[in-house]
Amino acid sequence: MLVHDIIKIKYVQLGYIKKNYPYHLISDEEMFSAFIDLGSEHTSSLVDPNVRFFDRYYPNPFDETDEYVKKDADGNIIYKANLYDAYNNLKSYIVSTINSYLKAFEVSGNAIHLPNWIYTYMLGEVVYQQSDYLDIQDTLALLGCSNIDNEFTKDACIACYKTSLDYTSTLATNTRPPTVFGEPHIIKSLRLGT
Amino acid sequence: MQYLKIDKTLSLSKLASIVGERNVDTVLNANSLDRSVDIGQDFISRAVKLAEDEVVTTYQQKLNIINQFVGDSDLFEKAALSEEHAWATLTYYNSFPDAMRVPEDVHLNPAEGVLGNGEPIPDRVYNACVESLKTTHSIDPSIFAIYNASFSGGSYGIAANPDHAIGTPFQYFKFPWGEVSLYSTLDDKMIYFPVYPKGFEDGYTANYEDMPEMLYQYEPWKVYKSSGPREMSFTFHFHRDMWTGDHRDGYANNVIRRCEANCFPEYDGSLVKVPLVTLYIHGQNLITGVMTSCKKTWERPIGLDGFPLVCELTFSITEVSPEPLNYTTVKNKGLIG
Repeated sequence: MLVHDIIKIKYVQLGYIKKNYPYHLISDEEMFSAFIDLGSEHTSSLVDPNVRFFDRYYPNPFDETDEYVKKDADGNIIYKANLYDAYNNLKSYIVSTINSYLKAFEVSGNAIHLPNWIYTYMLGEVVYQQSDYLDIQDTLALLGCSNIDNEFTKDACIACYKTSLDYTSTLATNTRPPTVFGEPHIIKSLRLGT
Repeated sequence: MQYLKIDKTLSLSKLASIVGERNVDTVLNANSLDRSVDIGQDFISRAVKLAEDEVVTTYQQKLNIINQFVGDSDLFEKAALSEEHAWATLTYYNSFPDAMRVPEDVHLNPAEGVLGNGEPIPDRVYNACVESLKTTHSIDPSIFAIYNASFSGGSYGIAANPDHAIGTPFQYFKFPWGEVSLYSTLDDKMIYFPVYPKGFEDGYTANYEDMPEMLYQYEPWKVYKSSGPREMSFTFHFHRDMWTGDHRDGYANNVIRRCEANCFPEYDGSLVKVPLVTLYIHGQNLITGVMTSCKKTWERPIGLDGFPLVCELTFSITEVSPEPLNYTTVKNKGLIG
């Protein structure tokens, strides 16, 4: 699959896959392993277990005590979530999705195609601190969190979570968890909202 | 021989953008490194480990190392003035703790902080280093010192040229050596002036256009077009005797020629490399940009070589700002002066 080839080339160039192998000599499992820690079942000599793409590009921006609270017009709390756990839920959902797809591949031998939003993380296209300066600026402006240093702050992550929560609530149950980063659905939702 | 200065933030992709994707593995092999995301961190932590292990380099090994660098005076000086852990890095990995060896067939842009100027080390300095190594097993940094304390009055640490005569009447004047300097990206070197510039003007401009064909308006409608550029002109008034006391020493000529050279590019095949210059005053970056003019005026008296002694050198720099400029960044700039 083209997107897998592109990701493999990217990870080789960035060093997340340690050998300079051509993409067709790298398995999907090695690619996923370079992206995120899939557990002890999936290890590879091509990947440094301490340096994974997801952990570098999208580390947890929250402390364990950070919470998101939604109130109604009267000030009553209608929704409350721990943001540290929200990030961990997102990460574990990605891991479990990849693992289930890998298992399906073992059984059927058919090519793996993950949900597109996971590929946006794998390609580094989800906006966070490592993103292009202009992408960060545009996303922060949409979120209403612009700042002089153009930093993707914790407040911006909370705003992302709020928007993503509204978006995911319109989907079927357990389709995906809300995110805390600048995923395309957040940018689209905010643009439509304006 | 060429080395690339790096820091611990260097990533593999950044290295690839400097040396080219196809040369990455060649460069890593030359430095006994494996591919990894944080290549700068790996490179520097390797040197730190050698320092922690307190690896000792014998003076014979040091001699062998500096002999490799006789063709490049900047590398020779860097190696000779290394600390003990840096000698160990050179011995074990053939690279400096903060500079990566790059094979000769890899072409680097000089603006990327490349060491290896291709200028041989003077015999006097080389012999003094070898003698110092043999007798004390270390190299005395004063071999590379350009002015000694008696010359500079102990006030100015930097000196411009090791061959300046000591004992001339000029040693009693406190010239601001090292205070005023012009850096050029093409040769990665400083030009030191023995004088401060005369007073100069500094400022920004904003450009607006009038909205055409506006009817019934009592004043023109201004449409913002652009800001800047910042242009500064500097004049240095100096005497050819100010370097060594002998106006036939050629140092004034050297300074003038090197300033004039910054009005021209360097051609490398189809590549045209344009110099960016930075004027430093008292260690502060006053302006970075391109030199747009350089002229000189000579005045009497006439020297022993039949040429005027007093020179007024004027050059103009148009700013190429290292940072994006807008209302906020200009407002928040540091102290003036």
